[in-house]
Amino acid sequence: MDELIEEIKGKVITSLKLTDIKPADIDPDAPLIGGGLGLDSIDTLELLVMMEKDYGVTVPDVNVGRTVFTSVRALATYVQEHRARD
Amino acid sequence: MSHPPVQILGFAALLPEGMLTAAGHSPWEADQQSVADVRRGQVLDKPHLNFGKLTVSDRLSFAAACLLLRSAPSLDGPRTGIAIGMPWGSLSADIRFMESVVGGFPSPAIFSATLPSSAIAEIAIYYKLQGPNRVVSQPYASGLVALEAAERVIRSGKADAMIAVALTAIEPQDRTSPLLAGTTPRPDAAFAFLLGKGPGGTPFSITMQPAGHAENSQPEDVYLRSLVERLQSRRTGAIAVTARGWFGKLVLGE
Amino acid sequence: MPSQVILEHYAAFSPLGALPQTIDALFSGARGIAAGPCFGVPVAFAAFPDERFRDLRFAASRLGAGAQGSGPLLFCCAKGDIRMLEDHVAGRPLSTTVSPLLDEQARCVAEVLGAGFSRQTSVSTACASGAVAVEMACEMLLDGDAQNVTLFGLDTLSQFVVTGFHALNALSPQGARPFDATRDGLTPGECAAFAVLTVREARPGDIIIAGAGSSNDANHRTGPSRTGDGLRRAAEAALQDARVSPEEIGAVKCHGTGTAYNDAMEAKALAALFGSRIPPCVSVKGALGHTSGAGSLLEILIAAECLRRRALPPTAGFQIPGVEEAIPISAQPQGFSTPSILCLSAGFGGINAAVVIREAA
Repeated sequence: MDELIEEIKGKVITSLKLTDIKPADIDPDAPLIGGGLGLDSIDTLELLVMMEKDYGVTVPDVNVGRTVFTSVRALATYVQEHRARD
Repeated sequence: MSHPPVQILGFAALLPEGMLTAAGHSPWEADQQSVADVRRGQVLDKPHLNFGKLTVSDRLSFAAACLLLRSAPSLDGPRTGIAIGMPWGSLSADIRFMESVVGGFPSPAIFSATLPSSAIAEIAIYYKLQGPNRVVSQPYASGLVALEAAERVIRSGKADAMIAVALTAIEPQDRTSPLLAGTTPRPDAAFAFLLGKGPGGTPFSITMQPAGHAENSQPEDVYLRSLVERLQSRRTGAIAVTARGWFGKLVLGE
Repeated sequence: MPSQVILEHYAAFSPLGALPQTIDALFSGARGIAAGPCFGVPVAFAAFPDERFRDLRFAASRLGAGAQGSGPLLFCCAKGDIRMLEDHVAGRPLSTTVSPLLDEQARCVAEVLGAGFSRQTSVSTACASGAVAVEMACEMLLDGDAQNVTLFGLDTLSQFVVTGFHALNALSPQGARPFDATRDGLTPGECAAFAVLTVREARPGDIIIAGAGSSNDANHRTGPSRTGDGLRRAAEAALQDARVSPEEIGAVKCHGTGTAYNDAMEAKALAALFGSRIPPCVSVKGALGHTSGAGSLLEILIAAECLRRRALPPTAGFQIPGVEEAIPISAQPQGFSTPSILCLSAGFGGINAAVVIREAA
């Protein structure tokens, strides 16, 4: 899980082009939305695209979406549970 | 009724050879291949998380405005607008978005940048500039025509100040695209001018009109560099413009 | 008598047909919205009844026949005709010779219209392009720089636009319901619009462009400011330009896209602008869809026709009030007596634009 968390941190940074942020700057338990990363609604949508593209994971509705984005750890947990196996 | 002349109150430029403001010139670092590699820290002191998200056009436009406003007087947000001239609109972003569609994963972030007016958005948001906007999208003389549009907005009384950005930006992979309709991209560059009612600036006027092909026409950045040089050395006088398909006259001083 | 900006000639084509047919259809409560999918996206959409209008040259020739302009031509749109870009990136044979570059499209329109325009320029300020073009035209005409300004706009349904709005989660599966409690997004549409503005003394019955104003929300890349402040200021700038007070506005042609945020924001702007006396309001986007940058011009022309009738058509798609403020939006036609309409537009990048039109006595 720790490896996946680090991987997801990297993906958040690259898919959202947060050039001023390093993985070490992201607290895995801090809120993703409304937290220190300054993510807006378009960033949230972009993360959904990243999850689908890189892990084959879709988020079925807004309510699930809210829990998924509570932190990087929550996102990684969701990916772990739902990722497409090769 | 005569209007007091509009003044140029400040300028900044991101050029292939480095960054330029009234304070002086600073060259790019060794690892910066082009203007598009401008880093947030070179134009803004505080971290700005949105900086990296911006497409090349939007980033250069924003960076030029940041450089300009670093040493500018504070602006009256509701009465300050933004005008931008760009040769090919948001073409690079358009191509990237269409590529993401064809690739099966349409990108919401890129889509939000597929309008020429997105090059204005970050400037407006960051500096809270709520005045009118003008967007000029044409292959030649776009920046000069945007400068003309900005001056006109102030003369109309709709704004007290305007940021006018003249931008040339296209991603390297698109430089030879057939979609450019035979136009030849110049190196990336961005000029930003602060126009206002003064005092303390250089009075100026500009008129541009379409014209047929002229033998001695020059790319727009030649005239913009000339304008910047005169502003730096406080030289007044007229600059006659012959850009492809456009004649114009820029007059500095009363 | 002072010179004013006059809406001299105009024509348009929308998902409900040519402008006269569109007006009649709007007043009868018709909706030009069909069930999806649209370019593979599972959403309702509003398409031209005649697909040939998606071609820039065809649309220009049909709407601008007899154009007499000697002044500037302003081509207003968000994306215009984007087929060449789509075909090229998708690796398909090109379905058009029209360049995606807006300046080239403006040139193409100028050629088709055949008049000797002094210049042609594209105006691309997102979904407010038409209204901003009107504002720029007024500046040119009142400055004495031109005797006439020709405006032409085209925005089409395309995979590019529909997929993009879908990626932003902005589209309604069923169809836009402006200001309604169950609204859930916008409906992509398409339109072509043509107008000639001149500057002269007004004659009785003329439609006058009395004022125009624009602003930026300075808030978010695509979402409007939650307070409606930017739209309110654009409206105030237009009212000031027209030298009229809010009480002298007979009706409002809203932007009213049918998204949760836009309509809530717009309602706040209207309440802040008019206080407790908001005049009758309409949105046509539940009937015609969101026809984008060119739509900003189309809707001003529709407002001109409403002005002549002193009546607003029903707001198709609206049933139950869904905004906090009491806005006079109705599923029935609404009459009004003061001969002026405030037209509102807003677009990505936070751009807001407003135009006041008046009928000369």
